[in-house]
Order: sequence, then C-alpha cells, then structure tokens
Amino acid sequence: MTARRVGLTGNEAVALAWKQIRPHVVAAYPITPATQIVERFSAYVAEGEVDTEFVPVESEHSALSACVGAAAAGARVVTATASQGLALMHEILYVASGLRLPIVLNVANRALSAPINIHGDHSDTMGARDAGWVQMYARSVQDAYDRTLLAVWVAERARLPVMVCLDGFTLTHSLEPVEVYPDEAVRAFLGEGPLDGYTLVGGEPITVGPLALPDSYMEFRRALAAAMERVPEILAEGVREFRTHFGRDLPSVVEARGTEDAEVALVVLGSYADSVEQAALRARVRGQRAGFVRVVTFRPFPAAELRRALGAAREVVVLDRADTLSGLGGPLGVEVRAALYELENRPRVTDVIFGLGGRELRDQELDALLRDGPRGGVVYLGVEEPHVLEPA
Amino acid sequence: MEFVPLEIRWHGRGGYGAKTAALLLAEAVIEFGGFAQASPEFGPERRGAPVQAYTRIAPQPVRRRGAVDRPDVLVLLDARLVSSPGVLDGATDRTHVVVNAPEPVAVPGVPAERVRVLDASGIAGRTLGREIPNVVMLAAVAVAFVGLPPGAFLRWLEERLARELPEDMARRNAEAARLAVEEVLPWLRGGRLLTVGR
Repeated sequence: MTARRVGLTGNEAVALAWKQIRPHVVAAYPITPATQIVERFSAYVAEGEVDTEFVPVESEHSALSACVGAAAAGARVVTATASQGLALMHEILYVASGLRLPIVLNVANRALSAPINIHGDHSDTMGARDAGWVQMYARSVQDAYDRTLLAVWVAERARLPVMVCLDGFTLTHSLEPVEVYPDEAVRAFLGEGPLDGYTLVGGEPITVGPLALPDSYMEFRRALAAAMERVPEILAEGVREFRTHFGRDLPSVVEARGTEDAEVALVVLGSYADSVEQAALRARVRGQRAGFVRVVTFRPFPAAELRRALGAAREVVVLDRADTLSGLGGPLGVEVRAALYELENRPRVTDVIFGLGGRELRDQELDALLRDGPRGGVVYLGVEEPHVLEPA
Repeated sequence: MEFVPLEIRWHGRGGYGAKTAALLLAEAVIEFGGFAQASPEFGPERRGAPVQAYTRIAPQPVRRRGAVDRPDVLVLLDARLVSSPGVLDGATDRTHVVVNAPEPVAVPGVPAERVRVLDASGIAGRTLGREIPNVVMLAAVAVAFVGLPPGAFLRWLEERLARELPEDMARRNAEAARLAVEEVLPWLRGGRLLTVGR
C-alpha cells in the first residue's frame, strides 16, 4: 500500500475520509467550523465521485433523525456538526445510542452560546458525554483522518455510535501534511457494510424502538453500558487491523510519554497535545521530571489506563477545555480525579481550565504552570484575578 | 530539498487573501517534501477587517500549535497595517518584514535592511485586473525566504490554482507570481536569504 502525501485542512481530510468510506447515506446541516466537511462532501456527490444518498435537511435535529432512520434500515451513515448543531441534535443522540446504531459523527469542537463564539473548545461534546456515544478526540489532521476511518470499523463492531472530535479551527481550518491511503485499502479495511440485523426495511422487517416499560427499560440501559465496556477491546483490535492495512500505529485510548518516572504529569485532550507534550519535554531539559498523557478516547473513560499512567506521579495537571460549572472544575479533571481516587497513594490533581472560546494556550503559560508548581484545585488559566477553588 | 525552520505571520485585511496565501505556502512546502502547518486566525469575518494567518515550516513534523508569537518573517499585505495595534508584536531585530508597498516603508523596531517592499497591489492590478496582493506576496515569500525553486514552484502554483479557478485566471495569477519572483531574485544570494530562520 502506498500512501499519497498531501496538505489538507482538517475539514478537507474528513470529507476525503467520508468519500473513501463510501457511506450509503449522509444527512447533514452545515455549521461553522464544520461547514467545509459537508460542503466538500456534497461536491463529491454532485460530481459523481461517490455514490451516497445525500440528504440536505433543514436542521441538525433532522440531520441526525434521518441518520437514525437510515442506520436502522442497515445503511452505513456518517454526518458532521459543531456547537449549537450538536446541542440541537441532543435529543436524537440518545435515540441513536439506545437503538445501538453505528452512526459516525464528526464534531468540529466549538464553544456554545452565550455569548456567541465560533471558536474551539470542548463544551459541545462534553455536553454529550453521557449520551452513550463513543468519543475520540483527534490530535492532528492526520489523526482526524485516521480516526474517522477507524470510527466506522469500531461503530459497526461495537454497534454503538461514535463521535470523532476535532478542534474547531485549530484542526478544522489548519492545513498539515496528511498521508492519504488508496481507496482500495480503505475498502479492504472497512468492507462494504452494513451489518446484519439492521433491517427496518427489506426481507424480514423488525420493529425498532418499541416502548420499554419498567419491566425491561433498565435491562436495555445495562446492555448499553455493557456495550460501552466492550469498546476498549474492540478499539484495540481496530488499531491492530488499522496497522495491518495502513501501516500506522494509532493509540487506542491513551497516549503517554515520560510518565514512568514523572513527578508531575500533564493530561490533555485534543489538538493542544502537541503544545503540552513539548512543554513536558522543555521541563525535562530544565531538570523537572515531567510526563505527558493524552486522553484519546474519552468515552468510555480510560480509568484503568490513567491509573497506570498517572499513579506514580506526585502531581497531576489536567488541562480542560470545558467547564462543568459545578464548582469541581472541568469534565476531564473531574473524571481523572474520580479515576485516581481508588489509588492508595493518589497524586494531587490541579485542574486547569484553558482555551475556552478559542483562547490560545501559549507555551509561556504552560512553562509557568510547571515552573511555579501546581497547587491543586481549579485554575482558570490566563483569567485576571483567577478564581482558585480548594478541592472539596 | 532542505527546509529551515521558519515561522511566518501574515497580516492582511478581509478580502486580501492572507489566509489563502498562508495555506498555499504550507501546501507547496508539503508538496516539495517538507513539513508545514498553516492556520488562519479568524477575527470578525468582514471585508476590510484586519486578519492574521500563520505558516510554520520545518524539516520535521511541526509540533506547535496556535499563533506565531515571534515571527521569523512578517508579511504585511497592506502597508498601513504597520501602525495597526498588534501587527509588530514579537518582531525583533532578527525578524524579516515584507510589505506590500510601492516605496520603502519604515517598520519601527526592525532594521531597515530587514524590511523589503514589493508593489504587490500594482503587480496584481496589472495582471489580474484586481489589486488582490496575496499571490504576489506568496510567490515572494516562497522563493526568497523558504527557498522553493522558482520554476518548479511557479508550475506547481499554476496547476494548483487551475483546480479552483478558470484557466485564464490561473494563468494570470501565475504571471503575477512570475513577476513577483523577478522582483525578489535580486534579494537573494545563493538561492535564499541565508539569514532567515534559526
């Protein structure tokens, strides 16, 4: 297999991945910063480069509803959205996971209103973290492309919907080198889809989405939780297959470097992993033993892997690009703390909320965080008169 | 070919094509075997509003994100931006500045020998019929600072633009780029500006 090396923006790379995935149905509604995914893919459809039923809809609620219908009928389905669009899909997110439909959704992470803002943070997908979707966060444009392909493989085997999140503008509108695999290689990796069992229409139609009353609803929800518990295993197999087909190693749930002997470990999600990993390396040069951890898959939450990666550190600094507004800090920080609680000698956790609404994370800020020493609690980075809360 | 690490910050106004130039330069570097990252900084998306974009170039994968705070090369698509807030932030006596202007321009804090002007609007007006300076400035930066081979770069650019523009406009843009290359060749000694980059 020979990959072709080209410069692509995150959105262009996702649209190209979709073309190679050859979904039967795409129902989508454009929104900044995901617009070019839909725009470019609809051009592929118009030019006859892909034989997809493209359903232009009047809202994101309708987009995901159409995806649910198509997936229940056995179609391979992908869509994309961001921010308010994901918020409008919220009701249907639970329908997709509850019906165990393998829909792949690319989210161009963007802040939520109000105040209105078009730039990147993780508020949108964090609001969907308990909706029963697998969530992976891309580190680079290459990773967004790779993970979109991987997501289809995983969704169809886990029988769960999967979100592939890429940071708005930082990835969606940034151009980077991407190794694009040949169409035949993608076809060999993914097969044709759809899966057996999704037969809303056709030979032996089934009932999808009937009422489940107290005698059975809880069993359905337990089954959904169990499906989520199987995801890490499926992901591990998925990245093995990925390596076989494309020759690239993808971390499945967590990526860690320098954590074996780290006194302080930095934890991050998404595209700022590059800046954070470099900050850890600079700290090493200064003589501070710093480690770097990137949470790749946020749902299901990789608690065991994080305990392994962070258990030896004295201090853990979590970089959170969203806030729970609960007084406990950001969602990543809350869950890292929860995961570490089981350890006897647990490290102290400082939760640093950064980058809301697209605010840049600067190298000097990361260096200062490490140099000054973390102090626990919750810090709103770069906000004047910072609100520092003591851990409860 | 060999690439020297280079961080470039483009300043323009909405409609001048600063973002397109930043992305096309990165695309060209990738095409010629290097590593690059380009990103726009989106302020208000209005024609005429100041905009910034960034191109990072390196011989190995770029592992930084966000704004270019300390540019090796600062490209001003409008000379009047010299006095705009923030435009010269992070510029040092090691920064090179290229300004779209018909006459020499003083850039506070930057030695005169590191400031170069190019009448990009004039060249664009004569070749494209519209004073959109981005392709002229792109060609100047690509050849003078990044060191892309002029002939191969111009061929790549015309082909690349023809994918999105009518053939006639692609050809005229390539002509504007060729005129830019002619203008900047006297800046060079031995293929590229050797003082650029770290």
